[in-house]
Amino acid sequence: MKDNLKIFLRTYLLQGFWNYGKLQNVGLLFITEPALKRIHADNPLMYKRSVARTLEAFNANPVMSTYSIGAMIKQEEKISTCSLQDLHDEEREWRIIRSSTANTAASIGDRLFWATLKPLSLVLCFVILSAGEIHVLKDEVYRGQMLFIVFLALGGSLLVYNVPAIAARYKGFVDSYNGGEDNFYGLINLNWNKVISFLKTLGQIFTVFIIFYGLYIRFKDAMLDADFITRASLLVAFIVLSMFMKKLNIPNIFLYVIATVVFAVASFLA
Amino acid sequence: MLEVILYCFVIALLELDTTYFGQILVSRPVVVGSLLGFITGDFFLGLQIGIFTELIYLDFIPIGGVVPPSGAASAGVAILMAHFFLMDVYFAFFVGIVSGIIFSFLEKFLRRYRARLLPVLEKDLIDGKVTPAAVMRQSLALQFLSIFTFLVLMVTIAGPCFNAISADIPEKLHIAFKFSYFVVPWVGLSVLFISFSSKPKAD
Repeated sequence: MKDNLKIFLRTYLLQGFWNYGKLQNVGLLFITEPALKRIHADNPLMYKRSVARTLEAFNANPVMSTYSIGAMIKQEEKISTCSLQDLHDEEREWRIIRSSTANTAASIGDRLFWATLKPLSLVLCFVILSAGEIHVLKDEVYRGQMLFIVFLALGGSLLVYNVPAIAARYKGFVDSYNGGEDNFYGLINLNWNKVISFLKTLGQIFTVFIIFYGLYIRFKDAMLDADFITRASLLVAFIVLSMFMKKLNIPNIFLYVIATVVFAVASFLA
Repeated sequence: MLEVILYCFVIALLELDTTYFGQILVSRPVVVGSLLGFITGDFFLGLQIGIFTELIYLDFIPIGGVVPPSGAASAGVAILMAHFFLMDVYFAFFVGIVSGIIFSFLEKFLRRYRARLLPVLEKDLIDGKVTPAAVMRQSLALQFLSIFTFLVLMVTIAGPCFNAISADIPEKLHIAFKFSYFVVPWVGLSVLFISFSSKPKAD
């Protein structure tokens, strides 16, 4: 397809007009506009009709949305060549494809990119920093090689997220354009659950490493006195509390605010 | 003041990546924090604030209409507070977090505002009176100006306010804020471990 690169680059603006009315609809029109113009070049009325249809509500994960966009463009090409009698059915099919692929792609994308790869990339950043003996969990003075290690850690974490994201964006578009109902527009070409599961296991291993290594670094020089025991006990209490709050789906940030208030009150009472 | 404006300009540009343009994660707090820390000359502080901010916001996932507090604004404001007003890191972090939360309300307002523009805008787009590219440009400009104005106001209001009361802040309050700052990464890491534990069944 001629429009591949143009559409691929435009997908980075899917949420450019994010709104509570129809979510990413204007962004979707911006992405598909070059293809719609090409497809309906000799039929302005059909072009207007396709613009109106594209402006209906749309919501998908920004990275995985291409799995929906490619399939929609393919169906749009079908609409442009169909007879007037079939127009209604083909447009209905377009809406079905759009809705089913967007929902599935959103579910996979949110779990893979937001809930797995993003935190994993942070964990990797932590691991590289720890390997370079930069301990952010402890106060540390500036050292010579720090800049290079931080650059490596940040670069590595950005790559861990962006390389799969770029691949998914591009492959999603090509696979869904060339795919069909048989392979659900490319969405079942990969066992996403297996990938997510593997990455989460990796994340767990790295997180355990960071926690124990961080605890060692933080407390290795500490004296076993009353202050240490108080700090350690409070820390354990908050870790347990945070796990409990996570189970209740209460965000971390509230625990921080509560901790600040509780400590402030406690310090005045003490 | 010019320096504050310049830093806020950079943060506002990076913040666009959170939702509106890119999502390549240059707006994540660890990147914003490190960059600002490097520019302001306290690299380690920037890195630490960035990582702590990211850990505390990790369990906010922007699914559907969820508007998480802005990590870029939080880390940015915290570092600017520490740099320009010599605010202690634990107070600066708290102010940063509050800024991020306030910004999420502004973000919700902007999303509602865009929704109100939709009926007329859709008609113009269908009739070809306006192009999607022009709409995108205007939307990004509005978003950028909103973030930028918010950041400048936040820094120029909260900073002098802190300076006015900083001498009267009791030592006990310092200890309380310091300790809650110390707890942040551990709470974040434990939540991170739990979130990695919920795996789908690989068939």
